[in-house]
This record gives sequence, C-alpha cells and structure tokens, in this order.
Amino acid sequence: MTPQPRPNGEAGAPSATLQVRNLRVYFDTPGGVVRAVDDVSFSLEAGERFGLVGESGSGKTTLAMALLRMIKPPGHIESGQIWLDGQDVLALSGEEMRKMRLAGIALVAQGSMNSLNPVTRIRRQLLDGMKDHAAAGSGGADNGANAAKMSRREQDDYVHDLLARVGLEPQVAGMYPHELSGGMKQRVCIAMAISLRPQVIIADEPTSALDVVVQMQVMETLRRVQEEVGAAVILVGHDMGIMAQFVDRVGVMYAGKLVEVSPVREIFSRPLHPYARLLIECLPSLEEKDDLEGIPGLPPSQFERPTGCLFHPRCPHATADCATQEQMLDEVQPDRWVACHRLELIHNLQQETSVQESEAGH
Amino acid sequence: MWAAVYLLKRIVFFLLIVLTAATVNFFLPRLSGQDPIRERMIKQVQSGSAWGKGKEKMVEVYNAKFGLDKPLWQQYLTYLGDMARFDLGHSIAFYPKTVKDILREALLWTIGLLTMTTLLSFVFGTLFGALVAWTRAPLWLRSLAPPIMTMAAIPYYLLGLIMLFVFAFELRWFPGHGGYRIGTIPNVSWRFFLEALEHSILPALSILLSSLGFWAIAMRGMMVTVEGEDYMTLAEAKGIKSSRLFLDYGLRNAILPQITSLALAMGYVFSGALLVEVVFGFPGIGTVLFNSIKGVDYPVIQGIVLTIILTLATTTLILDLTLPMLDPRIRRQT
Repeated sequence: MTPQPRPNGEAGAPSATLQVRNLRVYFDTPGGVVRAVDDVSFSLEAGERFGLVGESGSGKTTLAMALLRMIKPPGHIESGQIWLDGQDVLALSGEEMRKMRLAGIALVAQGSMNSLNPVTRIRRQLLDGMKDHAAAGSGGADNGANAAKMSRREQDDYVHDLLARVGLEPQVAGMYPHELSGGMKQRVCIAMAISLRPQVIIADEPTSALDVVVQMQVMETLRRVQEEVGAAVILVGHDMGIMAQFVDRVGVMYAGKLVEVSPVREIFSRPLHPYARLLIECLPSLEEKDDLEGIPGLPPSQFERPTGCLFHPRCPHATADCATQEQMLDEVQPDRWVACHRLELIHNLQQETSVQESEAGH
Repeated sequence: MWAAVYLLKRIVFFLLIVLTAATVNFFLPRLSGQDPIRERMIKQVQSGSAWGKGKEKMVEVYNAKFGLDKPLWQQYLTYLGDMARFDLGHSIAFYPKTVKDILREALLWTIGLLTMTTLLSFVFGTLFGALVAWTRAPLWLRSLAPPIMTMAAIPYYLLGLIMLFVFAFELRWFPGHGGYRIGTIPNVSWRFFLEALEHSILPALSILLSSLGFWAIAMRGMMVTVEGEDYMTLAEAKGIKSSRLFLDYGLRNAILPQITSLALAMGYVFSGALLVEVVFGFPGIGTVLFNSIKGVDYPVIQGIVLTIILTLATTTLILDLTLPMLDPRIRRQT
C-alpha cells in the first residue's frame, strides 16, 4: 500500500493530521433514513486534543465509529471525506483499513469494563493487535514494532514498557481482565491504543464507568501518553468538567450536526451558539444552590427533522428565518466556527441580559 | 494452591457420585421383584423342556452360584467389592460369558458409532453455528441454516426410521440391519472394517443430521450474543485480522457453554444410543441393554448402567478440570 502522492496544499491533500469534510452517516431504517451524522467538517492538528460534546443520540459515537470505518449496517457512510495524515481513508480497501486501525487511528472504547476479552491474558491482548499489523505498509511499518520477528523476551519488554507507560506493574501482563479494577482495565485499553503510536486516538467516553478520583488519574494518564507519542485525541463525552480540563478545542454536536467549534476557554466563557450556551448553563454551580435547569424541549425525532436550523424549535432566539433556512458552520471570529443565523443579535442580547442581571443583582 | 484444592474437591465429588449411583444401580433392578433364574427357567420350559424336580434344584444351585441366596446387605457388600475391582460377574442370560466380555464387544461398536458421531456433530455443528452468526461468513453457508436447524426438530430414531425406509428398503443403497452381514464372523481385517462401516452409515447419518442442528442453534445464539460485546468492537478497532477476531475473540468466548453440553452429551452417548441401535439392529451397547432388560439380566444391566455412570462422571470430571483453563473466571469461584 503506497500513500497517494499528493503534495500538501493541493486541493485533495490537507495538511492537518485528520481532516473530515462534509461527512454524512445515514442509517436506513424501516421508518426512513436517519441522518446520524450530517455534513460534519472539522480538522485536527498533530497532538491536538479535541472534544466532541452533545446530548445522547447527537451522533458523537457514530462520528467516532465512522472515522474508524466501523459503521455497521443498516448504517453507512453516505458521503464526505476523511483524510488521515494525507491518506484518503474512505478510499482504502478493507484490508488497508484494517491496518490503518490501531496503527493510524486507535480507539479507547466506551464502557471499558467489558472491552477486554475475558478469557485471555492482558499480555496476549496487548500483542495481538501488533502481530496483525506486522509488516504493515504505510502507517504500520514505521511506527509499529514487528511482533512476528520478536523473541519472547522482546515481546515481554515491549508489553512491560507499554504497561509502565500507563502506570501499571509488569505483573498485570499475566493477569486476566476480571482480576483488574475498572481503572486498571481502562489503563490497559490506553496502553493498547498507543501500542503502535497512532496519529489519532479516539477516546469514546473513556471514563464514564469510573469514579471521579480514578477518572482524573486515567485522564492524566491519557494526556501524558498522548503527549509522549504525539497523537491527536478526539475525546467524546458529555462530562463538561473533563472537557474543560483536557481538551484544547470543543465541537458541539446537535442532531448529527456540528453547531459550534471553538477553543475550550472561549466556549466556556462565552459560548456563541444558543445550544452551546444552554448546554454550558446547565452545568451546576458550586457557589449557588439552584434548581437544575435543563434545555426545554427534546432533541428532534430521528425521522421528523425540523426544517432550517435543527435547533430552532428549542431556541429562545428563533425567528421565522431560522425555521426555513439552514445555516452552515462559519468562522465568525478567528478559530470560532458557529452555525447560527442570529449570531449578531444574540450576542447583543446576551450583553443586554448580563447588564440587566448585574443591575438586578445590585 | 487453588489448583490442588480444586483438584481434590473434584475427585472427592467424583467418587461420591460413582458410589451413590452404584448403590442405586444395585437396588433398582431388585425392586422389580422378579427372579432372574426362575425367569430363565420358565423361558426354557416355554421352549419345550419340562418343569420337574430337577428344575427347582437348578434354580437353587444357580441362585447360590450367583450369590442371590444371600441376604441383600451381604449381596450389596459383595457387589461393592466387585465393582471396586471392576469385576462385573457373569451374564445370566449368556452364561458363562462374563459381563465384561459382553460389554467389551458392544462398547467397541457403540464407541465407534456414537462417540464419532457425537464428536463430529459437535465440531461441525458448533463451527457451523458460529459461522452462521458471523456476518462476514459467505452467504451460501449462511443460507444452509434453515434446513439444518429444521433437522434438529426431528428425533433421531424417527429420522433413522425414515432413512431405513428410503435408503435400505426402497433404494437398497445401504444394508438395513446389524453391524455386519449375517454369516460374517467379526475379525480384525480391512474387509470386516469396510463391512462394518457400510452398516454404520445410516445410523451414523441419522444421529449426525439430527444433532448437528442442535449444536448449531446453541452456538449461533451464543455467537450473536458475543458479537454484541464491547470487546468485539474494541478488537475490531484494534485492526485485528478477521480470522483472529473470529477464533480468539468470538468462538473462544461463545464455545464455553458448548463444552459443558458436550461433556453431558458424551455421557448420554450410551443411553441415547438405545433407540437408534434398536431401530437399526446395531450390535452396540444400546441393543445389549435393551435385551438384558427384557431378560432381567441383573449383572449385565448393572454393568451397563455402571459404565454409563462412570462415563458421565468422568466426562464431568474432565469438564471440571478443563473449564477453568478455558474460562479463567471460574477459578475465582472455587
């Protein structure tokens, strides 16, 4: 397998580590076509940490699976492009894609309590991925060790090194998954994900099954090894606290669409899209004891999508235009991409209300 | 350490099972209240000989010879001692043949027929069931599922009768009765082996076809469950080869309950054979059991039942010892 000789800068070859363009993932169901991921575009620089947030069913995990090309029927990638390190992922053959997984793009799975094969030892599970990437072409050969040629001793060293990187003792190699705690299992999953030094790691709610103390330890581990191998990370989740501490940029998904992509500090201090703002306002505050506020209304049905802006039925600022016209993601400020018709107006509105609130407070 | 304790526990358990079963085995036929020697004599009378004083004497002599005149508890103790030495005594119906000899002859046929068919149907049924559930398997293979699953619904003696009718009586492709031709004396030769093989095909096929589906259905269900597990998703995301994903992750996990079923099926090989063997007149242990029950041949019945118990207990023991190797999670529970 040879990479397409496309120089950077040419129309087809993006310079970013990962570039997703107009990706659409549809599910053909008896009730009609469900657009789980709809016209999503974003890019990742090397080593960057990108957060994907949104409600359940907003398409975060589907998007992550689409990047791995692991969408199961009745789902399929309808259209779009995925470029990983200059390679057109959607053009790869099945076998090339298999080798791209783990070597180019790795997964730390959701609900890792059950992510390890219960009947084989950790050692074997850390090695088998690498073994099946032996003599891999592009993406595999340069960053993966060749297990087929390794002696038992070298394999041990390799496994122990991987475990040490995620803060686990060498003895763990000889253990079975049921002998490990949840945090240890997740560390093993992280060790697996970095074993071939991929360019991108997808962490799909990696800590959802863990308690908060272990959560932070695992996230710290993920951050450390990610920096060591220089991989970009896509963190999928809805824990805004973890997002705030871990990622550089956040993409907010709503009903399969990205509605805002902004640097993490700015989105927390001044979210631009109304949905992003409501989402962040939902975070409970430690200082004030308030009733928990949600976002009024429900996400749109998978079959009856609203016309125009998908969020308009729940949006406090919606006008007639919002119901008829779609708005694409647009760079409204440097590095801030938002899809909203009424941005200027809302922005002023927000200033007004904050003035009113501060007046009311005094 | 756990291994030693575990092993000891299992072996003690094994011995207890055998002892209990052997005890039941001793008392059960005696509860029928029949008198085996007298029964035999009556048969002889029916076939022409007279019932004189001599017969009464013969019953007494034979009762003494088989130890049937002694009190029950004494018979029981003798029986236990004999069992421990695996001395099964003499057949009453085929005296002076020993039960061991009768069993040895019959077992060879049964093992040849049933162990082979059970293992074959396990291997192919399990593999087939796994492949049917495997979405990457070829379509022609997956479309074989409905007919094979249907076969599982037909009891195998019924399938045997159908085959007997079609292939032995109508088409005359295969012999319909016995393990070899009438007039042939069993011996060790290629000729005899081929003859026996020819006679085994119909009974083997009827068992194989009907049990294949049973294994396949169970395995397919397990495989579908396993395919939905998180570790399958992660394994695929690891870029593992399809063959490894199938064997090391899918099959390896889905097969665990199948192994348990196999151990039980191996134990039932002897009793389950009865109907098929009787249908085909196959000289296996099922036929011998059938005849000895008809003839109230205590020692033979006991010998066969003891063999069944021993096989069941042994396969269970083997299962207990191998399962922890296949499923590490079992080790913790001991």
